[in-house]
Amino acid sequence: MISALGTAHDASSRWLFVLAGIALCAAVCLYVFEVFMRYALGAPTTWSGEAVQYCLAIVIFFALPDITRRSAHVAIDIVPSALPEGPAWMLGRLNATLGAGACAVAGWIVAGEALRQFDRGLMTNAANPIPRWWITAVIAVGFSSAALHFLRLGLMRRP
Amino acid sequence: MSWAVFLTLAIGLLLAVLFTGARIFVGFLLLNIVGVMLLIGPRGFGLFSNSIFETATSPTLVTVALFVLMGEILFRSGTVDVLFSSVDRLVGRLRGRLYVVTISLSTVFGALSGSAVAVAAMLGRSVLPLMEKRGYETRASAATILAGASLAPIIPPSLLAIIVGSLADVSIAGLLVAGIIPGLIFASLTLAYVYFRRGAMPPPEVRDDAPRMPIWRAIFQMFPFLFVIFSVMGLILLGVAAPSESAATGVVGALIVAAIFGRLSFAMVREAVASAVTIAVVILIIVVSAKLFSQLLSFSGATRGLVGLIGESGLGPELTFLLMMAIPLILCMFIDQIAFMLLAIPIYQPIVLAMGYDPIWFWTLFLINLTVGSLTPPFGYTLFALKGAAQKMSTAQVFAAAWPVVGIFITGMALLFAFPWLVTALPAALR
Repeated sequence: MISALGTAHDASSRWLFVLAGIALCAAVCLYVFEVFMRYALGAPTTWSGEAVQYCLAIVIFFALPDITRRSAHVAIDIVPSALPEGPAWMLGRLNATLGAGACAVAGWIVAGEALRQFDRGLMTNAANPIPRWWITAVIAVGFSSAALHFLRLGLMRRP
Repeated sequence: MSWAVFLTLAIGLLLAVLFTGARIFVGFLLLNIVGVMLLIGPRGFGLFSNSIFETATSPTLVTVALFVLMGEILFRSGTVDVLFSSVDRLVGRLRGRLYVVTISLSTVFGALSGSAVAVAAMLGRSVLPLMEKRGYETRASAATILAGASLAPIIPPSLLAIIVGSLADVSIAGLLVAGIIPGLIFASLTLAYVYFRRGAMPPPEVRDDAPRMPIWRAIFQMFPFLFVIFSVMGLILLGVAAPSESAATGVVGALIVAAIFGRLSFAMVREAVASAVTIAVVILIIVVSAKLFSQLLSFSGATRGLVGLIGESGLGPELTFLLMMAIPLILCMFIDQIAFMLLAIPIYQPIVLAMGYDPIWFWTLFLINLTVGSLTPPFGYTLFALKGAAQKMSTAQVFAAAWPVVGIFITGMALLFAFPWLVTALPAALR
């Protein structure tokens, strides 16, 4: 059961990573479209720049879980690499737990804010506003899933 | 809680967490969660959430992701190999020609990738074995590669310059353009070093010929890359595109170059996008997690307190400047450049304004200083990238090669300190 949930979590992270890649490609297309519209047709849009900004949030927070799953984040490993294998493994476990805690609290705070924005019907401060909770929810999903990956890393048995 | 206690606790907590090997973004998240709880309490959760929202939707940070994608397309498509052979041919017959090839390539690669670690790894794999085979001195060869790679964060488009610009609230276009003259100065100083260093030249009996290719073909092959550079820097200078938009046109330019050389494929683009997302997010999640720190500093009174402290200390602008440069030089030997930058910029920003330094000049020198920190033994990232790529070199050899480069860069910085117009002239012309 736990293993099946872990597999499903990994698969969801990989799919979110694919969506992050699509969002990055969309950002390229939107900016090039904007430059073309402004200089070739003299008809700048009001929405493409805003759409690119939302794409960035999707890129960051939809890619975060898979990057955490792959342990691809940057860390300063001077101390862990100087330690013997046993203490280094314990420190790694402690760091994963720390990561789980930080991401879980961040996810919880941001999710609470998303609910508050939903209740109040808050919109983004833009020429073409969208519900603010759409993006805040993406951030909450990214942090929460990353927290779960950190937790799984922390609970992993020593090889 | 007084600002001094808050600042000491914040820096202490962050460094303690980072040195245990915790992910850098986790360190900043913890710092900001603890900071919000201590200074504001649960009422500050909205501030925490909004800071992440605003940073994750910042148009300047889109530029980082797009420049990374541009570099990935160029490197993964293999089109840089074409560039290598063209530069190699154009340098022609010259004693110690591979030093010139390395520096010229680094300058162009720097303009195409913006990452010192990427350029060091690439040159360490491709050029260093060739230099060793042709009897070039290992130490001078490694020094040239380290110096060349360190040009990447200085020569536009520089990822670090974009992050500094967005955090310090300085013109990104101005900071990008400001790196051109210093980059060329450092390239020239490095060449002067290898040409004047005794024993650096290969023995005269060694064959060290340029590839057999007509010069017109070498020049012709370089034109597509000029198109990429134009679609980035040219469009910014002409005022056609903002830096973030020019990064997108650069991506299209890179795709066109790959197509011209027959290297464009769906598989290559997919790999480039996946790699670019990973590299960019690893950097951006740190920035997103750290941004609130500047607001907390201001909230705790540390920003005002620090400026007052510097004013009361009686240190002049010159001594203050030297102190502000010495700190990153030392700390970046031990901690990541981006982590240090995110910690230092909010602290430095009010001091820069109070001291009346030209922001473009100051932040350009700060950026160069971070680069020097990352190539200073014993913990510079650029050194590890070269060591990883050049397995035959011992760590001691890499370190020995790095010291002259540190000397070259500090000499160059002294020049930029003495003659600030070397940094400010081009951005002023842009305005």
